[in-house]
Amino acid sequence: MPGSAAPLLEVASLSKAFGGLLAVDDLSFTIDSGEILGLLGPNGSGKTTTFGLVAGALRPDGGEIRFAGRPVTRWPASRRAALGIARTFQLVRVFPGLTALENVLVACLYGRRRVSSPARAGADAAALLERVGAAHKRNTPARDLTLGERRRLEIARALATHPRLLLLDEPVAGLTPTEVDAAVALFRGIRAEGVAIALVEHNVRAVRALCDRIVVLHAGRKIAQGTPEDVFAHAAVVEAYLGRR
Amino acid sequence: MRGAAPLGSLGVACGAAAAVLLPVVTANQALLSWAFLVLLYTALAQSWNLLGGFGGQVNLGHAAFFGLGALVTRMVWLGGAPVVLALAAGTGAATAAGVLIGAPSLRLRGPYFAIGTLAIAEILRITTGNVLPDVSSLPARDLAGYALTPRYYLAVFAAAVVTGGAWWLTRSRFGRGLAAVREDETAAEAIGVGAFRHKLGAFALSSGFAGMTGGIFAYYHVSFYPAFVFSPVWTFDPLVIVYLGGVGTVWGPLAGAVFFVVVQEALSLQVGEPHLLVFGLLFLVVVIAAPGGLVEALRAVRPGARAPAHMGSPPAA
Repeated sequence: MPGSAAPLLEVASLSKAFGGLLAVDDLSFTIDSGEILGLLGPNGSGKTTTFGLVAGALRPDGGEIRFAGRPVTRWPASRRAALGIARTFQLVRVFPGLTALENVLVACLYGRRRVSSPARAGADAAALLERVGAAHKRNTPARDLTLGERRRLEIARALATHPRLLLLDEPVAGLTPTEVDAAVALFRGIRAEGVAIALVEHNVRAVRALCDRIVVLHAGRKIAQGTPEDVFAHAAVVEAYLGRR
Repeated sequence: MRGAAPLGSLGVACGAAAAVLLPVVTANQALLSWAFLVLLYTALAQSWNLLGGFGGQVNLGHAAFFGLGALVTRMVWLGGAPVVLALAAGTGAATAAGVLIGAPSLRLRGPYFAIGTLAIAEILRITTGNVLPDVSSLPARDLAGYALTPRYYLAVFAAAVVTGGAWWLTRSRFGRGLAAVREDETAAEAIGVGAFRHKLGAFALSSGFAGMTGGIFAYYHVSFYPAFVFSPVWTFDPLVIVYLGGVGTVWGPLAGAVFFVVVQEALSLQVGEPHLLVFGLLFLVVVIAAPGGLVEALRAVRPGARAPAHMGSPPAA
C-alpha cells in the first residue's frame, strides 16, 4: 500500500485446516476504514471460517492478522471485540433468555465502548434498538423474536460494542425484499460513520449496492478481487459458481 | 425504576428486621433452630445459585467447598482463635480451592463440567475420610458455653450477604456479562465478555460463600465426623432448594429453603433414604411442571405480575 496509511485490517497468508480439509488456504486481503468489502464464493469456500479467524473464534494454523496496527493473531475473541472487531453469525446467535434490550445493553457494557453507567448503557441500548427498528420489542425475550427481528437485534448488539470493523455473515438471508432494502440503508449509514464492514452475502443485489471491493474465494483460496463490476465479469468467478462450460 | 420497587424494598426491610429481632422476642430454642436452618440453607443454596443459576454452570461438587470451609473453620476455632477469624480462614480456604479447582474444571462444558466437579468432590470426601481420623471429639470447653443466638446471627449475616451477592449479579456489569456467558459463550466472547474470567469469578464467589456457610455449620454443630461435611447431601440439598424456589433468582433460594425445612420437619426426614425419595420426586415435579420454581409460580398468580427479577431462563440441568 504505497502512499496510503496502513489498512485497518491486514490478513496475510492465513490458513486453517479442519482434519484433512483446507478451509482457508494462504489467504491475504486488507480492509480500510470506512470500506465495505464483500467476501464471495460458493458454499464451503471458507468465508465463514475466515470470519471466525478474524473475529478470534478460531485459531489459524498459519498466517498473520493485524488489526489497527496490532498483531491480534493469538488474541482471544473477547480482546479483539474490545479493540473494535464485531460480528454477526450466519446462524443468528442472540442471548435467547435475555430481553432484546438486555441483549444490547450487555454489549454496551463491554466491547470497545465499555460504558460504566448502567443507566447510560440502558439509554444507548434503547437508541440502538430504535435505529434497527426493534424498539417496540425491547422487553421481549430474544427467543420469541422472528428471524428478521433477531438479525436486527444481532446487528444492534454488534453496534453496541462500538466497532471499527463489523463482520456481517449473510445478514439479509431469509429477509423479504423490503427488509433487504432497509438493511442495505442501515449498512450504508453504519459505513458513513467510518465503520468498515466485511460482508459475506449471496444476495447479489445487496452485494452490488453495498460493496466497494470484492474478494472471491474458492476452496479456501482467493481467485479474484476487484470492484463489483470487475468481479462479476471475471471468468473464474462465473466458473466457481456455475462450473466450467 | 419499577413501580413495585418501593414495596419490594419495604418487604425486604421487614423481613430483615424480623430475622434480626427473632432471638429478642422469643427464647424458643426449637423455633430459633428452625430459623437457623432456613437461613443456613438459604445461604448455601444461594451460593450454589450464583454459579449454577446465574452462571449456568451446574456444579455437582459444591459439598467440597462447604466441607473445606467447615473443616478449616473448626480447626482454627478449636485451636483457640476467635470464631470470626476462623470463619474468615474457612471462607478464604474455600475461595482459594474454588479458583484452583475451577480453573481446570471450567475448561469442561455442560454435563462434563457437572461430572468433573462431582468427581473432585468425591475425591476430597474419600481422601478426607482416609486421612483424618474417623473420630469426632467433643470439646467440652466450648460445649459448656454453647449458645444458639450468636450462631443464629451468623446465619442471618450469611444469608443476607449471599442474597446481596445475587442481587448484585442482577444489576452489575459483571452479572450481566455472566448472564451473556450463560446464554451463549461464543456470542458473549464476540461482544467482549471474557467467558472464562466470568465463570471463574462466579466459581470463586460461589465456593467462597459455600465455605463460609460450612464454617457457620461447623460452629453450630461443633462435633461431626470430618467426612460428613463432604457428603453429597451438601451439594444436592441446595441444588433441590434452588430449583424448588426458582433457579437464577434472588429470592428463590430463600423461598425454597423455607419450603424445604418445613417439609423436612413435617415429615421428620432428617436422614436417610426417605429424604432422597421425597425431595427427588419434588425436584422432578418442579422441573417438569414449574421450571421457574416457587418464585415464578407466585408471580404468575399475582395480578399485575411483573418481569422476573433474574435475567433469563434456568439453564437445562
